[in-house]
Amino acid sequence: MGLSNAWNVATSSLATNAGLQSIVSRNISNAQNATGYVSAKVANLVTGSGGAAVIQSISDMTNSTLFDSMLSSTSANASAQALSNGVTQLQSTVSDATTTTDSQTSASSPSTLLQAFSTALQTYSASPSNSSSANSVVSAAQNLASGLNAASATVQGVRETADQNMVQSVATINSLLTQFQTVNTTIINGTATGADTSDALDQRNTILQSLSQQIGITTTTSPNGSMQVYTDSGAVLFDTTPRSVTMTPTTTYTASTVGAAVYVDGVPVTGANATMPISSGALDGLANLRDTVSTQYQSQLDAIAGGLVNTFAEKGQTAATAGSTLPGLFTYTGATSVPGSSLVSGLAGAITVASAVNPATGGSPSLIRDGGINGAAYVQNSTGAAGYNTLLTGDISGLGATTTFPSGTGIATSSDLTNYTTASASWLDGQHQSASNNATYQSTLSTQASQALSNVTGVNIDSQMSKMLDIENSYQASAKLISTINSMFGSLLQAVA
Amino acid sequence: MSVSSVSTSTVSSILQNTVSRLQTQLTTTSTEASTGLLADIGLTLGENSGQDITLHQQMSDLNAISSSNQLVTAQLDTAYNALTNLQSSTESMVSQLVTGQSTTPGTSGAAALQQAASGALSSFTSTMNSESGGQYVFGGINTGVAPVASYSQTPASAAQTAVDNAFQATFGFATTSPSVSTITATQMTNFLSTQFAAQFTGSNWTSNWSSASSTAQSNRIGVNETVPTSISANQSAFQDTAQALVMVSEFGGLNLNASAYSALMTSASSVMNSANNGLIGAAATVGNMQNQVTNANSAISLQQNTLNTQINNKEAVNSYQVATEVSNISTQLQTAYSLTSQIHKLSLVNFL
Repeated sequence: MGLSNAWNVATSSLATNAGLQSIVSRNISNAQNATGYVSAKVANLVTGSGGAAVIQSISDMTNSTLFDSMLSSTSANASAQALSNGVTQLQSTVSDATTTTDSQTSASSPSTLLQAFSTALQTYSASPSNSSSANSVVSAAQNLASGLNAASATVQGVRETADQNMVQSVATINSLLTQFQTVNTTIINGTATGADTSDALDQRNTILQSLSQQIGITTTTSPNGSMQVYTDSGAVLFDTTPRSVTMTPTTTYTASTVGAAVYVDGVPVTGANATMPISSGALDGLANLRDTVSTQYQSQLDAIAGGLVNTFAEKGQTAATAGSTLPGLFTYTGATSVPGSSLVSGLAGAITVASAVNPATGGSPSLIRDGGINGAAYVQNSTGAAGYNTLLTGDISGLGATTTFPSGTGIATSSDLTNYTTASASWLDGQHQSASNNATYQSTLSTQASQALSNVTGVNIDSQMSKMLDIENSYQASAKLISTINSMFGSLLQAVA
Repeated sequence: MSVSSVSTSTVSSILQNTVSRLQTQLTTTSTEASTGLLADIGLTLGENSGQDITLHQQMSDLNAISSSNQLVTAQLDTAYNALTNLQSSTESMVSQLVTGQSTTPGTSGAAALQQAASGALSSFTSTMNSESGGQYVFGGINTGVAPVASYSQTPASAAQTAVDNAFQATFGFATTSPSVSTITATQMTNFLSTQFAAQFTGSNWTSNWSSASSTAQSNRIGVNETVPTSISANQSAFQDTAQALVMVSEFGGLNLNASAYSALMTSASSVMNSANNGLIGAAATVGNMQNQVTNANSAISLQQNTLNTQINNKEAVNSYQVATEVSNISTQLQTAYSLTSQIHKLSLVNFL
C-alpha cells in the first residue's frame, strides 16, 4: 500500500462525506413534511476498492406492518368521519326534541311538533265552540306536516350530497391511480437499473395514503418493485395498469330513489347488490350514509306520516259509506285510502293538512271537531252541537293508542304514535352518538398509527444534527489526512531533489 | 430502530393535537358550566334520549291539560253559582207557596205571589242561559245555543202556547174565560198532574222549552281521566222548577174559586219542593265535578314536580364538577402552551 493509495482513499472519503451530508439535508428538509408520508433516508455504506467507504445505495426506513396499519386506520377514520358528518346533518331534524319542551313556534323535530299539535287538540277539546282554538289546531297540524316535509327534504338533501361526494371520491381515486402508475413505473425502472428510488417510493406511499382516505386498500409488492393495489374487499384497483372505478351520478333523490353502486373493475363494491363490499374509506362511509342510515330514517318519517293519516282518518257514518275509511285531517296527494300498517314511500314529504279545514283555502276548521272532511257522509256531530268534543278526545287518545307500524324501519312496530316519534328521535340520537364516538375514536387511532409510523421511520432532527457533526469530524479528518499525505509527498520529493 | 425513537414531526404535532382536543373540551364544559345543562343533550344521551323526550312530552301534555282545566273550572264555577242562585230563589218560592195556600184568590196577596213567580221564571231563564267563555254551561254538548227560551214574550212563546192549548183542551175554555171559576179542586189537581205536567217532560220539553242536548259535555281533565263536566238543562230539577213557576205565574192570577186555588197552591208547592231538592242535588253534582278537577289539578302538579326532577336528573350537570373541569382544562392548556415553547427551544441546533 502506497501513499497514493492513501491519497485516493482520503479523497473518496471526502466524496462520501458530501453524499452523506446531502442525505442529512434531505432528511432535515422533510422532517416537517405535511403533504404526505416521507420516511428518513439511510445510506448503505460499503467498503469499496482500496478500502474506501462508498455509498452503495440509499434506502428508506420502512416498517410495512406500521405502514399497513396506518393505511387501514386512515381508511377507517375517513369512513367514520363521512358517516358522522352526514348523521350530524340528519340529527339536526330532531335536535330540539330534547331541548324544547313545548315551544309551538321554533320547533322543527317531529316529536316536539306532534306534542304541540296534541296540546292544541287538548285546548280545543276543552273549548270546542271556540274558533280560535280550532284555528290553532289547524296551524299546529300544518306545522307538523311541514316539519315532516322539511325533515324528509333534509334526508334527501343529505343523500344528494353524499352522492356528489361519492362521485368526487371516485374521480379522485381514478386520478390517484393514474399518478400511481407513473410512479410505479419509475420504481420498476429504478430497481432494474439500481438507481436511487427512495424519493419515488415516498411519492408512491403518499399516493397510497391519499387513496386509503377514499377507499380501504391492501397492497402486495413484486420483487421487481412493482406494487398491486386491491380494495379491502379484494377487488383489483391497480395491477400493472389502473383499473377503472365508476359510478353513475344520481342528481335528484326522492324517498324511493336507490343510489347507484360504485364499480371497481366492473365489480359492484357498494350497495345492496355488492359482490365485494368495501368496509372502509370515505366511499364506504358515504355509501352507508346514503343507502342505509338515511333511507332507514326516511322510512321512519314515512311511518310517522302514515300513523298520522291513520289516526285522523274518517269513517263513513251513513249506510252507503259504512266501512269506508278515508284520510281526514292529514292527507297526501292522490290519497284514496289510508296506509294502515304498510309503508308508503315518501309519505313524509307529501303529507299535508286537508284543504277542507284550512281557513286560508276557504275551509272550515270546525270539521276537525265535527268530522266531514270527506263530505256530509262522514260527519259524526250530526246535530252540529257546538260543544261536541267526542271526536277530539278520541283523536287525543288515538295519539296514545297502540297500533302496528310498518316493519323494517329499525324501530319496534307495535307502538303508539307519540312513542313512535320519540323512538325515531331516540334512534337518530343513538346513531349520532355512536357515529360521533366512532369518529373520535378512529381519529385518535389514526393519529396514533401515524405517530407510531413516524416515530419508527420518520426524521429526528436532533439525531440528524449529531450525524452531521460526525460527518463534519470525518470530513476534517479526511482533509487532515490529505494535507498530511501532501506534506509527506513534499518531504519525499525534497529528499529526492 | 429502538422503540424509544421519536420523530421530530411527532414531537411537534403531539402538543397540537392535545391543544385542539382540550379546546374542544373547554367549549363543551364552559357551555355546561354556564347553562347548568348538558351541552348537547341528544349527543350525550344517545339511544337513551327517548326517555328524556318522553318526559318532555308528558310535561307538555300535563301543561296542556292544566291550562284546559282552567276553562273547565271556569265553566263549573259559573254552573255552580247559577245553581246556587236558582236554588235560593226556589227556596224562597217554597215558603211563599206555603203561605199562598191560605191566600184568597183575586186578592193583592195572590197577585203579589203571581208577580213573584213570574219574576222568578224570567230569572230562571236567564240563569239557565249562563255562559262562560262563550259556552252556555247548561247546554250539554250543544253549547252554542241558549238552552232555555224566554217564556213570557210577544208573540207568545212555543211553551206558553202549548200550556194554553193544554188548558183549552182540558177544560174546553181559555184561561181568560169567565168559566174559569167553575173549575173544581179535583179538576185542577188532575189537570196539573197530567196534561199540564206533560208539558215539562219528554219531547214537549225538548221541543218547546229546551235547546240543550241531554248529552253532558265530557273533558279530559287528567292524562287518563275523561269525565262529564257539565249538567244539562234537560234534568228533571230544571223541568220541575219551570213547571212550578209556570203554574203559579200562569194560573195564580186567574179568577179561580178558593178550593181550586188552594189545589193549585198545593200542587205548586209540592212540585217546587221536589224542584228545590233536585237543584240541591244538581249543585252537589257540579260541586263534585269541581272537586274532581281540583283533585286532577293537584295530581298534575305533583306529576309535574316528579317530571321536573327526572328531567333534571337526565339533563343537568353537576355544576361543581363542571367548574372543576373547566379549571383543570385551562391549567392543562397553559401547561401545553408552555411545553410547546420549551420543546421548540430544545433543539440541538441551538447548541451547535
